[in-house]
Amino acid sequence: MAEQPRGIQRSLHSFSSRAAGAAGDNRRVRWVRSRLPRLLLLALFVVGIVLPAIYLIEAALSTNLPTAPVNAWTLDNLRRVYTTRQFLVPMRTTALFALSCAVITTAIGFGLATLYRRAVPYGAGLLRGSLMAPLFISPLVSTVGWVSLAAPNAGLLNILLAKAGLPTVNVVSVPGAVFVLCVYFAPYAFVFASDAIDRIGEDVYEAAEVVGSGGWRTSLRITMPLLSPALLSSFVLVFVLSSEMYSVPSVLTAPSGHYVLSNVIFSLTTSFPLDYNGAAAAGTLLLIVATLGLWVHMRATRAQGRFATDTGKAVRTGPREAGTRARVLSTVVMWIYVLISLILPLLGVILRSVVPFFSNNLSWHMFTAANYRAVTHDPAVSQALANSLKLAGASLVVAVIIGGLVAYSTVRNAGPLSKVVLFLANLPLGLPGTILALGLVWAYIGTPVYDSIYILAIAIFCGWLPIVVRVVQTAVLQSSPELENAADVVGSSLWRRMRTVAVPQLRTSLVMGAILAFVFAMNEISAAAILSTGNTATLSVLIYQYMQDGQYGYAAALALGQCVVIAVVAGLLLLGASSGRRRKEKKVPETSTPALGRTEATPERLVGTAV
Amino acid sequence: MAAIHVRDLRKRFARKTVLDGVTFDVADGKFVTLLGSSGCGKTTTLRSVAGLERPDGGVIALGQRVVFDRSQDVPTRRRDVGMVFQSYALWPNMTVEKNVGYPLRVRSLSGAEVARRVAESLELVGLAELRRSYPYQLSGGQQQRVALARALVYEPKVMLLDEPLSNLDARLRAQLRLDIRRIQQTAGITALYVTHDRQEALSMSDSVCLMRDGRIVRQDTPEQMWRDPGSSYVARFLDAGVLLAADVVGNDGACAVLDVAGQRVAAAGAEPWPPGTACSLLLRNPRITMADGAVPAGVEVLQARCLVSATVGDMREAEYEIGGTMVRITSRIEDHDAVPAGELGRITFHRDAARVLRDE
Repeated sequence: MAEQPRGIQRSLHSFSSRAAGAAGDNRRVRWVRSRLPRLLLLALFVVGIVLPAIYLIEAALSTNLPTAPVNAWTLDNLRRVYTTRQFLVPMRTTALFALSCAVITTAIGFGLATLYRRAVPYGAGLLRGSLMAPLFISPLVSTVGWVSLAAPNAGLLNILLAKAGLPTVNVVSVPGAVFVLCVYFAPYAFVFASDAIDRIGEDVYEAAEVVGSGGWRTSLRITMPLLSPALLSSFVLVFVLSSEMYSVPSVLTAPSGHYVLSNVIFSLTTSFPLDYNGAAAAGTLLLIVATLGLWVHMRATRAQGRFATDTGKAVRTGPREAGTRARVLSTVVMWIYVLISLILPLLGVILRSVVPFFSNNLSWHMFTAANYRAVTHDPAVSQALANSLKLAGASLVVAVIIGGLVAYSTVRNAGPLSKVVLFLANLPLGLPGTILALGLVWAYIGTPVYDSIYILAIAIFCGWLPIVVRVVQTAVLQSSPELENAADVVGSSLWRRMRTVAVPQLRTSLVMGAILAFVFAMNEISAAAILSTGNTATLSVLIYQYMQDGQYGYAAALALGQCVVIAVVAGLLLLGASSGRRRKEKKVPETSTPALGRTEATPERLVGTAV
Repeated sequence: MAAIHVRDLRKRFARKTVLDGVTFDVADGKFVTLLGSSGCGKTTTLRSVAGLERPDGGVIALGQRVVFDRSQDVPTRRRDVGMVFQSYALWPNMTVEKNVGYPLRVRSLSGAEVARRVAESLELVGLAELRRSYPYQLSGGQQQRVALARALVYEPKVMLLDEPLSNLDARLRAQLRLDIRRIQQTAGITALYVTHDRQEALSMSDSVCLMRDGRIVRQDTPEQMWRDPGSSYVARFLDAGVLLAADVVGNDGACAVLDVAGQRVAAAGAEPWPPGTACSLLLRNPRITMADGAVPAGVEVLQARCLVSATVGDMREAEYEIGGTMVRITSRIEDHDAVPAGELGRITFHRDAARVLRDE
């Protein structure tokens, strides 16, 4: 077609000049409007996350509470923390403790994953669910279970072992605490490992075989190097998470005189003489560990991306053929692990909740509902249950809104503003619950928020925020923007597009995010223990207090109740999410867009991407 | 229906200039293709017309309505365009019927009206019986037709197609090329089509815009562009024939006399070429023979050494070396003698069927 006559050009120009005036404002309004959600999120994060983080540093560097009449800057707190035995000994304990947890958990996770992928057990689906289940059971709950089973004298397991003339085990010890935490964190390591193993294309093994490399040599020279970033990131993650762990050590290691840093921080903030400044200074170490750990974790994850042997070409991955004997063996080993990690502690909780105490002559007539009666009549329990449900319910709703909004708006609008919002949303990953709680105390002391459930809500929301954002973000990245563009083109408004196109795409991951937030809120104890007062105690805090008071029957009854609440809510949500999902699974056409991955959003995968 | 006018569209991403003054028009009811290799800016241009991309400058008008210029930017949903995406972008949570009906429901049409027009539209693309299926139950070609129906059902002013055939296999592509052309003509809608496939561009379009580095280097009818590519870049992109590097040494009537690696040949040039100009020689339907002796008037001869040759059915592929440069020729066996490797053969062509092209 030849060049159009000049007439068109002139008319195009007259069009543009005619529309000039009012339309300039129109563009400015659009500029702000398109950024409004992210600007609001930014403001929210500054108040909820950045302020507490800054206040923690201020607390570590000052002589008194911010409300105190006399206050000055000082380095004394830090000097005390990093040079006196009062802090150095717990630091060493924490380091050894976290190191053991990290090594053992990574070994367990990778062992299980290798078995699972290389010698597929019978009933793999159920087994996988059972392997992941400990993730949803608070370590405090499994501590209740294990204390019931393996306390030095009165533990049921020990009673049985002693009767059989076998040596007994003692869970109220440092190894015991390590064991309980390893079992709790093992699902993370398992997810990391199975994902990494899945990424290795079958052709890699075949190529090694073709060039004459044997099984062991292939494992050593090819598989291990390919898995090493995943090993590292799982090691670092468990190290960070267990170094800030507070509840399990205080129940299991403190009785034998081994205190970890979180115990020290907690006692400085709750028992006389109160020393918030010293606590904050001690917290700086956890802050450093968490930040460093996160950094290494992120580097390792990126390195893993570089090692991805999945080149987008169709390469058979997944399980290799294994002999029947290997599969039977793997099935047995894994069920034994499930027995130890899931069934035994739950059984311990259940049994302990229906007897007043364990004794050598345990018999049926001892079974009683007395514990349940007692806890249901305790007004503190109904108060705590209400608090926990409020916090967890609010988490569920807010996770969908804030988590969805953060992930969606930052993925769909790349740019500096999105980067800042995303960075702030991930900041709590480097802020252990204890630390965040201290910062929040500083930020809100002297305001009505300080003594209310809202300060707890802020701490808990911060805790799950990065997890939920990751989960939804992955789903947004995998859903094609073209689907929304298509709705835009045919004339659909933003809200209609969200409702009819975007949200249905993200439904599964939004529900997963909501479940994770709910579970997190129910199980959170580190921040809750510091921030809650009589009226604002949560179920977890109450379980902890019962244990401190030696009321294990009550603790077990409550722990079981907590598990049931979580199971019911998570189950209902999952059911709701999966109904109709079958037909909504999309068959993505072969396109050049790698974002249209065909990875199905299974809960495990989502958890894996979250951490 | 409306014409599309695009003037001096500019766009930079970070440090890269993606659109560097794109100007073209699509007349009412015509089918125009933006053709180019990946990264040439064709998709950015199309998405700018849809309003999915915001250019840094320029003017876009649909019919008599300016939808983008320095002072205004009509949101996508108010531009009243239809679009078919590379991935089809069918909403996986809706049936075929719901997908196609969605634009009408957005426009608050009555249920009966929606049903009537959806049926009509699915009839047009030949998918009436699949209206209750979900997208994942359809083949690629069927999904493509649903996308087409969805883009047409609300009778938008113009239709934009972004490489809609690139995810299909070759046979289906050929079929759908004709289908899309038929549907476009039946609907009488103005269409702007983006592709990197020269066959699609040449077979479907009323006019082709060849893009390179954010500019339109050539806009013409497919016939004219094929007949006279004008530059070596266009010829290479269209795969229009055998290309040889040459230098102009003089003019002989309407023909330019060229030096191709030391051998003199003449070829038709659109204009007199100044001697000494480096250019490209485009050969069409050259014959390769072993025979010696005289050739008829107007037939030119190039001596070439065969390096390797192979027969594929009734076609012969061979590589020849002419004065140090390699040239690959594929043609029908009857025009292409088997020259033993290492031997000299003759490439003969009529000077009027050859073209002197600008080097680009």
